[in-house]
Amino acid sequence: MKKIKHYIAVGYWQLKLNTLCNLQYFSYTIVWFFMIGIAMFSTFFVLKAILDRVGQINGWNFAQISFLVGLSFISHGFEDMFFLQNRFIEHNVLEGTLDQYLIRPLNVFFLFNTAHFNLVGFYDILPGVIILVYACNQLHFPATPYHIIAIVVITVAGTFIRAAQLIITGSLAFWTKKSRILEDTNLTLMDRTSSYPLTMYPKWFQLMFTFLLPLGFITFYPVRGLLNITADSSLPVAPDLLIWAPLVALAFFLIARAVFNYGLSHKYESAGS
Amino acid sequence: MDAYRYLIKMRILVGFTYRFEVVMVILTRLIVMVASVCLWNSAYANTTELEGLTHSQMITYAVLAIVLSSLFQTNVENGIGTGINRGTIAVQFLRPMDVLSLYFCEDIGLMVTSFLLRCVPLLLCGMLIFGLSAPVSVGALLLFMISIVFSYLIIWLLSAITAMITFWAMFLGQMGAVRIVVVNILSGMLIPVWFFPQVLQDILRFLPFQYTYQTPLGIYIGRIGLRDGLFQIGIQCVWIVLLFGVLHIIWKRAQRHVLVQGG
Repeated sequence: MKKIKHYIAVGYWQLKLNTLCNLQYFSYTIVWFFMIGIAMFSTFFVLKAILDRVGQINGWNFAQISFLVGLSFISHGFEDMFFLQNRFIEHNVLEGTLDQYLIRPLNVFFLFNTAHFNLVGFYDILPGVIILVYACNQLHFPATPYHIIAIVVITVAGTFIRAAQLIITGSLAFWTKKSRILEDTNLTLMDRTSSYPLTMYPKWFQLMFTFLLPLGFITFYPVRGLLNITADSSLPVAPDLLIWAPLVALAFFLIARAVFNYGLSHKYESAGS
Repeated sequence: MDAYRYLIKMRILVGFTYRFEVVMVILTRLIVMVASVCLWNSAYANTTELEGLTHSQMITYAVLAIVLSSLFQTNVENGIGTGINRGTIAVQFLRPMDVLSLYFCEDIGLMVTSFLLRCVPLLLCGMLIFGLSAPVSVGALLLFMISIVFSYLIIWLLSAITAMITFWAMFLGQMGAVRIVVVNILSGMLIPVWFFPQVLQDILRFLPFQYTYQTPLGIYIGRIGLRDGLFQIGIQCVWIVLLFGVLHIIWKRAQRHVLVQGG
């Protein structure tokens, strides 16, 4: 119990200090806010322009896709807020800056993932919340405790799946010394699989992002289950039950942690000066 | 002139150095291409025409838009931003060449590399995987090629004008990314402007954006006829002259406003 309290206290102080640091660069964050806001609403606008004309895409109408897009942006925001540093593991490996965590009497994975807090993530969350509220309103989404908890569960699970993906690709730097070049591919993949219905893609693509890299669980499967959308996915199983999302997220995150820890303890060379 | 040629050559050589990065960029653009094509395939599932575009025209438009976005690369914003932040802009002013021409030459080199290492593979993938259509006529192909040169010039001038902010703000931050996002949405890169509400279409006619992507792509797929295509290329030329004039005026003032920090 004492150990957990200690970890919470360390996490709290790292969070507080990082927030204060972020607020120092106000103009920088304002420009970020505009950039992210415009980028995210442009995705929303493109979908609206298409769906206004065709009504639905693979059984999903505009309000349902907006629900998907809103939740995707929110989990993207939380991932940026808490796990962004995993995109830069390459830098830590090349500069040897993980040493500062190794000498502390706390878990390195925990320290590394709480050492940075990026306020910029908030700017993804804000448009996400606006779009989600719009979608809920259009869908007459019931505000029952179950439905609210379901949204929280999908958000948390989606954040951890995204984080796991970043940690695994970032940790490749322990072996290859290079991983940042995967960043754009990673983000594009996660956004394209979580903002659009997965069923619009070819079957091999659906299988890959269900069983190999479980990006379909960031939003698509749990939202399909929650909104009772019955479009055929032509998959051998139906992973729409809400419980799958947190279970998959937990398993994927544990795998990611294992990859990070293995790379750190077996391949990290404390290079740099 | 030799100095400018040398800059272009060096940028091309640098571009060829990072091969693995190039593979990853192509992979990323391919994912975007697959997503875009699948989205339009789903949209056309129960209809043969949207806003006067057939399924085949729309797929060609979407694929070529992604190919063009890989071609229209500029580094002038980053270059000037970094130059001012680190103080290296002072060295560039000391060189016996115009600073903006220096960045333009580097970007030409970048574009040549992008064409060979990104556009050609993406174009081949587009043809083999998605059945990219040929241009509607030889005349359309010719106008398309002329138009993309002018499109690039408009985009470069917009980038350079954005970069000028650094001389006053000292820090560009994500302004370059804001410019890219604004151009992408208003130019018809993400979705043709013909899908926009009429009011917005009317406003965009008087702005340079739609002449960067929609004009060449519309000419290629035949949505814009040869006569109208020539007219729109004329508008592109007018925008190039206007933006060049704006850049020239700002650049004159910016040179008197250089504050070197760092270095």
